[in-house]
Amino acid sequence: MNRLNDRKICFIICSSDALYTEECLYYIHHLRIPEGYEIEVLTVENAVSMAAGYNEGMQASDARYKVYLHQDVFIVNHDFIQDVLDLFQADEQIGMIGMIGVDKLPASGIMWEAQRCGAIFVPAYRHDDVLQFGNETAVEAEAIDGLMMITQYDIPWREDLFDKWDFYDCSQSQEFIRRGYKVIVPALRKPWCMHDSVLANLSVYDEERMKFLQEYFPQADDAEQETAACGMTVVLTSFQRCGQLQDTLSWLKGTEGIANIIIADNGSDDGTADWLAAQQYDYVQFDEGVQGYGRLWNVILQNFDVQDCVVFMEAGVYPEKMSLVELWKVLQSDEIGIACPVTNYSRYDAGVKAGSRDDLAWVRQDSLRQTDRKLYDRTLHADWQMWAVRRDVLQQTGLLREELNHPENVLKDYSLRALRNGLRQVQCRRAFAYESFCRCREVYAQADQWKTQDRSVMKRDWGMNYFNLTPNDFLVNAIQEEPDAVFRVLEIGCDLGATLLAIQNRYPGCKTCGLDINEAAVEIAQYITEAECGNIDELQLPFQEKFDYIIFGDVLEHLRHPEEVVKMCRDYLNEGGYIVASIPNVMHISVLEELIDGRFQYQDVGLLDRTHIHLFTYYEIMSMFHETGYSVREVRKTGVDLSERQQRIMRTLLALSEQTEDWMYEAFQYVVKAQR
Amino acid sequence: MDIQNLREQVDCLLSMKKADEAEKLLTENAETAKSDKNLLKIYYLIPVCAAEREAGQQTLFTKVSGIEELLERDTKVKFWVRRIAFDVLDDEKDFYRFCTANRVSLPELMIEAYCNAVHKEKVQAFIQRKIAEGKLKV
Repeated sequence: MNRLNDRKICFIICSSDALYTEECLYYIHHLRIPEGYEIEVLTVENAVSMAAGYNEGMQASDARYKVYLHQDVFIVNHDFIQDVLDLFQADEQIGMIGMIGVDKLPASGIMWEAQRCGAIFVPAYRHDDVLQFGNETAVEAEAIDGLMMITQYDIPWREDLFDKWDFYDCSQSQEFIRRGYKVIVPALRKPWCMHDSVLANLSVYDEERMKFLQEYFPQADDAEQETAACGMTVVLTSFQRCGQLQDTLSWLKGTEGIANIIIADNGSDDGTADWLAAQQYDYVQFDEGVQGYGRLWNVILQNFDVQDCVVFMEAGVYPEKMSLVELWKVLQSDEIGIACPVTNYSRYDAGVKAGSRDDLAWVRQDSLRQTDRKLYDRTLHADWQMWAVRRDVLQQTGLLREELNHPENVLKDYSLRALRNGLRQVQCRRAFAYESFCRCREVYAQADQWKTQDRSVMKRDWGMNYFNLTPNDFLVNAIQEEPDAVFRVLEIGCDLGATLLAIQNRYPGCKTCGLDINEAAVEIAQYITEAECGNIDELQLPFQEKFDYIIFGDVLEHLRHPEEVVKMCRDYLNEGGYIVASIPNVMHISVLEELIDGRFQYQDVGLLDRTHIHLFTYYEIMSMFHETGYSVREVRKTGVDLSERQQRIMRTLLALSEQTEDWMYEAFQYVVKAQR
Repeated sequence: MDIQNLREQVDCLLSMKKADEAEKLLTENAETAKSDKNLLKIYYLIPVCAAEREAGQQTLFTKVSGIEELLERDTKVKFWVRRIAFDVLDDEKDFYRFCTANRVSLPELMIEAYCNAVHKEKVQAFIQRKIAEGKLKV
């Protein structure tokens, strides 16, 4: 073919299903054809491979513009042709356009392991019917998905290499890039097509992937070598869940990076012992009854040979195929002592709902959507259901505290000890696990009792009654800066520093400082941030420099002089700086309900925490900030579900006052952002 | 039970008009069904049968005589509801004729719309409107 026709668009489909192909054509025939242009449709039947079929189509058409699409792709953007022409004609360097792609292929060559861009409609049984990755501008891609590939130059498809149905798309993307063309995914505010795919046949996927990596990314062999080098010991704990234990073991057969598995049966009487005796696994059975986790995990560490890295996990936890390798990779850093995966529960608050282990892809997608390409986030709250540690860290930090029973406390104690040894605790962004249960009490009836027993041990060892290891996301989210912004944050009442750590994760350029009245908490926080011990009620701060944010997470209500403290903070804030404060609302309907019943009972935590000195309503909060010279820029409310009785009381109260509104009774806490 | 075995048994039960047994077999072997492209599609049709049964209607599985026929019917219904969703339904009458000829029920249409169509509410509203207008008889 010598001269290509600049006014022609050819649609090329490899067809194996007449019904689908007919439907695909139906949509093509509904597209608007720009004046002066013509379209052509070629279906290639019985192609031996996708690349071969597309080569046949390419050679048969003189159209300059070619749309290679799957038979199960239906183009729903009626102006598709004009939109494509606009893109190509605006930039002659654009060689190929895709609907879904990645700007950077991961070392594995597996596109869906990277952060993708683009948008398509997908059939939706349980989820949204749009797969949208939200790029607001066109993205230059290293690879695009083969569901639809649109070209303005003819470059041969590599049928010599890819003689099946995988990786022809990544290969063709690389062929265009090799020749100096751009491959792009445009900004798709609405998807241009629907892809009616169900399950892909991946039986030869890995073979094709290796061909692709060898041809285009020979250095990616390193990733394979890493997988081969990784050999972890899995310590798998189970109690009264023989079936789930078997299921987890079966699942782990598909997980890379395991050298050996040691099973700890924590005193089950459901037949686990008999089943285990007939297996080849190393195991220990506590036939004297249920053990606390400090002892249980130590028994394993003291009696079995373990590899350089050990993963502790519960039956009913399902790690993704490469997750152990990813944890292992992160643990190769001397700075890191403990690593845990991203799980369905850890992403739940971010709105990711994973109802089964098949939904892990959604968790993965959400986790990898973050753009900073970090391998992990620091945390103070590793997940006891699955966590990994290096053997030399165990040697350095010592064994687990046997006086502690609840696994959460055992890990909490251990991770704080590791922190004192200068070792970080991290959540690995590329390791994923589905946890089939959330709370320890779902497994052990004595979990709550364990917590109570552990409290005195923790108090004795750490000098604290309560360990706040979870960041206050409302405060973190109230800080809205560019990811690379340089600014300073002070947290009053920083406790162990969990919220400041989350701010550091999100804004690596942020300098954080903390102040807390509890000396023991400050001693821990100092491993995370610059932290000082002091009482803010004394109206002075031990910091010389000014801050862009001063945050108070549930602190102002504990102060004798909150208004004076807020006023004093003006001197420590840069011009335009903010106070961000979360403050409990004493007008919450649950408090009023108690009052109506004649009760006002203080509690250890919550709205009626016995250490609250000042009580606030919305109007009191506004008044405090206005009178101290701040402008309130944002007020957010946190809520809890109301009972029917509470709703009834609220309606009655609303009828009695013209100055109140329903949200004033519904707000559990206010999160206020006030500007100096 | 492996995929091949399950597929053959379901096919056989459908051909013998033992629709309830086919449903039961698929439900009991849900994990196997979900790992095969075609059986997965059929598995997701079980709620259609349940809704039809509840409405006192003949169930979808009784209207076909094998897996292939069921899959083809499912694909066609899916395509119709999508055409509605994407505003490319050229001739409404073709759609009505298809529904009548194939004894498509309201639950089948509604569930297919829910599971397969974009703009689900729009499609479901269209179906209800056409029934009310007496054009669509399901």
